[in-house]
Amino acid sequence: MKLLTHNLLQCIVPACRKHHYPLKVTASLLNVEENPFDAIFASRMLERLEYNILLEAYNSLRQDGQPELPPAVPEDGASNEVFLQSLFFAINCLDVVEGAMTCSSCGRIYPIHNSIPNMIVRAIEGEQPPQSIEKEQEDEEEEESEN
Amino acid sequence: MTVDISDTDIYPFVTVSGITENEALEFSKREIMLKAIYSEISSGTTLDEAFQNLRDLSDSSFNELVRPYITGNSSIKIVYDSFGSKTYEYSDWTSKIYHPMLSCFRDCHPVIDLKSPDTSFYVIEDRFSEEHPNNPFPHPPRFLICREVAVGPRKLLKQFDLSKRRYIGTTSMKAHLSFICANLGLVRPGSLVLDPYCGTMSIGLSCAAFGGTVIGGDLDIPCIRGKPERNIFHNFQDQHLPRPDLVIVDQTRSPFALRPIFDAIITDPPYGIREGCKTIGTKQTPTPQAESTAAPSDGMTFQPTVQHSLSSTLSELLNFASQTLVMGGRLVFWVPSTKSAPNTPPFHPSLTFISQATQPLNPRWSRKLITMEKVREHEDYFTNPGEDDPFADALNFREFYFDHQQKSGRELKKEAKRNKKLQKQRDISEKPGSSDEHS
Repeated sequence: MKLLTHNLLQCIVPACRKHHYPLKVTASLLNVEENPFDAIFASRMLERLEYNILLEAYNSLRQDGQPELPPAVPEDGASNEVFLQSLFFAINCLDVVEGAMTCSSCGRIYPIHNSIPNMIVRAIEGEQPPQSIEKEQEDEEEEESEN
Repeated sequence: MTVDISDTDIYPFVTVSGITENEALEFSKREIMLKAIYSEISSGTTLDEAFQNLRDLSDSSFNELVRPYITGNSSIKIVYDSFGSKTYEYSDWTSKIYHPMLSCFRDCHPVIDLKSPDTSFYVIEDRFSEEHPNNPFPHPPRFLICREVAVGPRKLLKQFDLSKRRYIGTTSMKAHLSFICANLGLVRPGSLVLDPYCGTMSIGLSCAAFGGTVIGGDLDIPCIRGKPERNIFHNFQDQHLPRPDLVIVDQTRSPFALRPIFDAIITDPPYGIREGCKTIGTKQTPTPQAESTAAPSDGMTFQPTVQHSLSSTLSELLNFASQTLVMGGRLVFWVPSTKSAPNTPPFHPSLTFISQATQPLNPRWSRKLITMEKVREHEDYFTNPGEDDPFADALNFREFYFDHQQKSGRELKKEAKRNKKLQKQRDISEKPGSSDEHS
């Protein structure tokens, strides 16, 4: 999972909706992908990202020798090549292979395995789980027991 | 650029005017349904007439359309192609086509190079009307003499063919259709694309081929993870495309932040026929204890799922798209449909309807590819059941399919069993009466 995706994800528990953001990301295995730098993409994403969340997540994962992100978006951010390169590295090259994301509000853990985060939970307290509409199968079971 | 598309539904030639050569080249890199773009030099109802018209071209037209490509050292090739059966036999081509064509080139003597010519001249015979006599736009047979400007991107279809992929599933979309989806979603370098029901990422692969960055989500854990030696990442790696980001999601409780971020959402939602419309849940109400012990700690746990209606899947998709698309972003999705269904496009206050295309799957049901564009800020919109629901048809689709389309052998067996049972009961209730009569 790259940090661009992390920037889009929130805890799915409705009670956490108001303070769902951000999920705290931890990693036990990181990978760096060598994707070719794409200035158009980086500048387009800059407008849409929550920069503070990206900065916090990136700084917690950054290793020595990897580019640094400034504490705030520079004024000429969309045209500053050096800044865009580090932004591109942060959102599209650094890949969390093994790790987890934790909701700061409810403490739920979303595991990341093989670069794929699992964002589903089995049931949420206080919410009626969706009931099956598969009547057919029940009918069948009944029929079989009759026989 | 103006396009005459009055009869393109079935007619294989489209007349385009006011397009520059560079535009044509750009166009031909993307339009997957395009064979080639030709610049017309002359035409006629017979081959002789077409050649005569070429000979009669004014000097200025000849200097503009033909001369630049046949002077000096430039090499050419002449190709005879046709739609419908060819009038001329292969043995006649040299005397009837190549020599007359060369004689039309006035004072120029171009070099002939069949392997890698600078320019290809085409003599195209159009006998579409003869092949399809019932078409509503009959054209008389005609001959076109033209120059090839650009060749369509059909080599992509070979390169991305399903049979060449390491990892596919039962419902992987054909390369052709995925490229059409990517075109309708206006995917270009710098685009961020989401496919919330990605399966084996067929659509995502085409979007990445056009330069988009793709995020895929699916509920089916074994499908999205694949196997260590063959999974979605390998398909991207084999095409030398950047790896997409994958997320295991349940779209009924979407984990994506609801703010405008995606340039396009392109997806093929499950209809409940070959892929189930599912959401996370169990048939029994889980006890808190069971919940805590069953927490998916390793991320590989198989989730119990229950049926989810297609209609709510689709209205969720529309609301989700109107919240997460940027202004001008596109939503492209497939819905199943039947022949008898009304042809009303889906409605959402913040999305405007762009187009729909139907793919007939069998004589009775088909699926539609719907494109919508975000034009206004989001507002929630839910239809009440029965109240001009755009997907009322899709809502009943699963039942319709299984009830009327093809009763499977198992269902027929079940019905026969039920009838037998009823017959037995009737026999039993009739027996006492009949025995009375005898006594």
